[in-house]
Amino acid sequence: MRTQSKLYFYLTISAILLVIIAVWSLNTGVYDFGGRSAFEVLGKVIAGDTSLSLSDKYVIWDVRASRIVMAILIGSMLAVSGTSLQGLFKNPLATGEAIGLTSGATLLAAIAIVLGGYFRQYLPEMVQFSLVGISAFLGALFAMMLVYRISTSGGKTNVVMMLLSGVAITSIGFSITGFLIYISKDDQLRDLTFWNMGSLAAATWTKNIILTVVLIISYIILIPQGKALNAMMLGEKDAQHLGINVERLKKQIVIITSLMVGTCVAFSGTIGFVGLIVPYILRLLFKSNYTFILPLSTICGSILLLIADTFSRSIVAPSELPIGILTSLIGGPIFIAILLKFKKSL
Amino acid sequence: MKKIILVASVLLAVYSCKKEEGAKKENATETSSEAPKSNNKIVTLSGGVTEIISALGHEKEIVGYDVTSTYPESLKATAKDLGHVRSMTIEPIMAVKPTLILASDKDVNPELLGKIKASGIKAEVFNQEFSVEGTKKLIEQVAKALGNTDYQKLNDKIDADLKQIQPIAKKPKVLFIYARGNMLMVSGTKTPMDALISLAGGQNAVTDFEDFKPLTPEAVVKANPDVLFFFSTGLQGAGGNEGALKMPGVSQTNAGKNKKIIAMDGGLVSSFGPRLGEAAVGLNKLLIENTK
Amino acid sequence: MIKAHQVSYKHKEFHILDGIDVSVEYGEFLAIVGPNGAGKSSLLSVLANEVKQGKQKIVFKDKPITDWEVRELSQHKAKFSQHNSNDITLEVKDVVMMGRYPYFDAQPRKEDLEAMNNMMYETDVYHLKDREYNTLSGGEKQRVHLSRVMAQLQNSIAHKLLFLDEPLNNLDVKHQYKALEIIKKFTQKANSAIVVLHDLNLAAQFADKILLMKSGKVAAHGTPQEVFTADTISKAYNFPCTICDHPITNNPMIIFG
Repeated sequence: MRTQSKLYFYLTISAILLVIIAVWSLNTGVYDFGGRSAFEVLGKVIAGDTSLSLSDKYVIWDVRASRIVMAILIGSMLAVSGTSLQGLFKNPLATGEAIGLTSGATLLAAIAIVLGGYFRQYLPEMVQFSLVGISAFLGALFAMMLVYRISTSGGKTNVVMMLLSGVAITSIGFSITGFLIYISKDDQLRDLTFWNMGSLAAATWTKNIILTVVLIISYIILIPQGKALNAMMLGEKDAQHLGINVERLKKQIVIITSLMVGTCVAFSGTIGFVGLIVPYILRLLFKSNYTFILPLSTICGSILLLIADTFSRSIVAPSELPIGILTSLIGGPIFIAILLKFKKSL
Repeated sequence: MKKIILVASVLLAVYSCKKEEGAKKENATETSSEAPKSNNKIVTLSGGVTEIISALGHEKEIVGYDVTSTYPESLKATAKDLGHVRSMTIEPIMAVKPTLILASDKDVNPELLGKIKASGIKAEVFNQEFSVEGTKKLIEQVAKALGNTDYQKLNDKIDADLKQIQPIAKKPKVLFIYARGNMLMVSGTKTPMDALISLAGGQNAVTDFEDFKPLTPEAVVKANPDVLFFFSTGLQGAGGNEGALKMPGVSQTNAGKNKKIIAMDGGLVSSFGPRLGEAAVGLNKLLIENTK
Repeated sequence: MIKAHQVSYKHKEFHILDGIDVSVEYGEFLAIVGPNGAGKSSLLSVLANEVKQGKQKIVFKDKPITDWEVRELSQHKAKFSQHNSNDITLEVKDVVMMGRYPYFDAQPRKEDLEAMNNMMYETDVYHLKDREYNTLSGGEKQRVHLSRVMAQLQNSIAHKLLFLDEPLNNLDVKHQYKALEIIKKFTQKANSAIVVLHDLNLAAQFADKILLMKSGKVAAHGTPQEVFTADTISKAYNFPCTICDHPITNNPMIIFG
């Protein structure tokens, strides 16, 4: 049918674009492979060529490739969570940051970092890292449950209450996290500020596998809901009349997005605005048709974050610009653009 | 459908684990045959460690250093500045193709440490204690990592320097202020500056908290230092002596009233390396001058 | 087709609906009329299963309405709501296509496109199909939703039910009549429609039965001839009126004043 093939067409173009950018990203970095292109080296790694020096292999595989894959996974999930939440709230400003998921995740992660500092000597490294990660996921989940409790009664959710609860949770998270930064000792403080800025530098294949599993589970449930999200634009009552199980849809979106956001924050810290930028740009092309923008945001989110990450590690080489700065740079003006558009319609 | 995906993910995980193990095994055999000698290419991620390496005569082997490694200055010409350890990533380190990475556990970001360990390059992370004994131990450990046994003369120099310290009858209360831009922090106990002050014959004006905390006028007045102690760069940035005197609470203290302000080079004060003796003597002289 | 017994609906302590019995047969066009605040929209909401409050049981096709599976139910009944969201950033044809959502998963099929196009013709919005919904006038938007709701019930199921809450708002005379004709045609195929109307004369002309409400209670229920008496109407509306026969159709004609 017409619309289906149109969708596949755009998906294919985006996928090709993603591959091109991935290749560019693979070739970017301060390490010199001694005359060979990064691509060649990667090919050798995959082929199991043993003539490669261990450093070459390590940089191309464990450093660059794993980081590129993580950017693709996290960018995708952040974009999809933003798009889904916007469908749920019928508001283009709704994102994981807006309903307090990221703050909840960061708060529990901060607690884990500061408290964990006292136990650092007693716990193996693997457990330490996982502790922070799990705390972030739980934080997103608690924020989600709290927001749901406040704004839902008798099976119906009041969207305005949900957004306001998000504001409240973000404020609480901000103050407690600020307090923790204040009382923390120097190296813990460094961990926290590092976290708050967000970075993909700590990418490992283990983390990527976890992210992939979360992504697959989430997308199987969420991506087919484009139609349902369109129907939500008519209002929850009318969507229900069209045969959409509205309450179940809302629960699914809230749980899955907090799962995605929590996992992303756990592994990369707070990277903001991706869930705002990607749907905004897609809407310029496809209006608010979720049967298009939901599937497309999966690939476009990856493209955005991959571009941002590649710039972050090449603009001020050998140092790195925190990726949150780049996403905010793009996201801030877009936020204003949305507000201006909203003002016109008032 | 989900089951297939789950199985595939598990298989992928097992496969990548196997790959890592294989890589690690290869690393183990490689490095054991490569005993570090003077053909090393060293990356050093701590000021103190850098000084020790240079003092032991291996300066030319350093290919990369961090932002706290300010001494010796000749390093700038022969090696690459890799930035701050807290925001550094592994790739720039690998780009200088080191054979040995030396770092102190107090500074480095744990994620970076993890990456360094996984890179397969021989790395040593030292626990730096800020005391004379701690410094001597560090010298010994770094020397061992370099395969150098000739480190005693460094320890001797420290002892010799320390002998030059003249005790001060009435121990002056010294307040160390870390000034950076608008941020002012004071040093409590258990910091390198605290240890240095004690070594140099003074006492820390702050005794009721540990580590660094933001400066408050009440804390300053309560501490009532006789001398204010800054990094040279910090004091300069704060507007010199005049700027220091304007800091909150200072005018109510002995140091402020008597205008007793001293400054020393940051690297010298905080590295706690072979120049420890020098640093202590330098501080001692300044204290004596300012408590006459 | 649909029966409700002793429907009550409270908001805080205020009884919006108080002990109402309703029953609609196959092929019946029921118009709900009454003064403002009588509870017409609320009754429609309750019957359409929008309200989860209260213990009343609504029985649709001999099955309690809460036992129906959501998607299947949407192929048997549809509702046109009064206050449609203002901001739908889609094209008109996408909005109408939403009416067909109960019928396809990912892609609309030929019959869905047909239903959509047919209903757009009927309500005279076909020429607007590629326009952005937000740029339409109030009346045009109303017709778009009407065609969506009608498209929803284009299927081979017998005995469908349509709920319409003031579908004629913002429509000009020609389109008002057109809309009512579409609904009448619908009911003539053994389907039913429950319509909240303000215009008593239109109700008299098109409806089979009238439910007159006042203050949350049923004031009268019956054919237009039975319900539209001067006495009943002026009492309900608290306003004097005269009834006479329509010169052409012979339906009751209500003249206020």
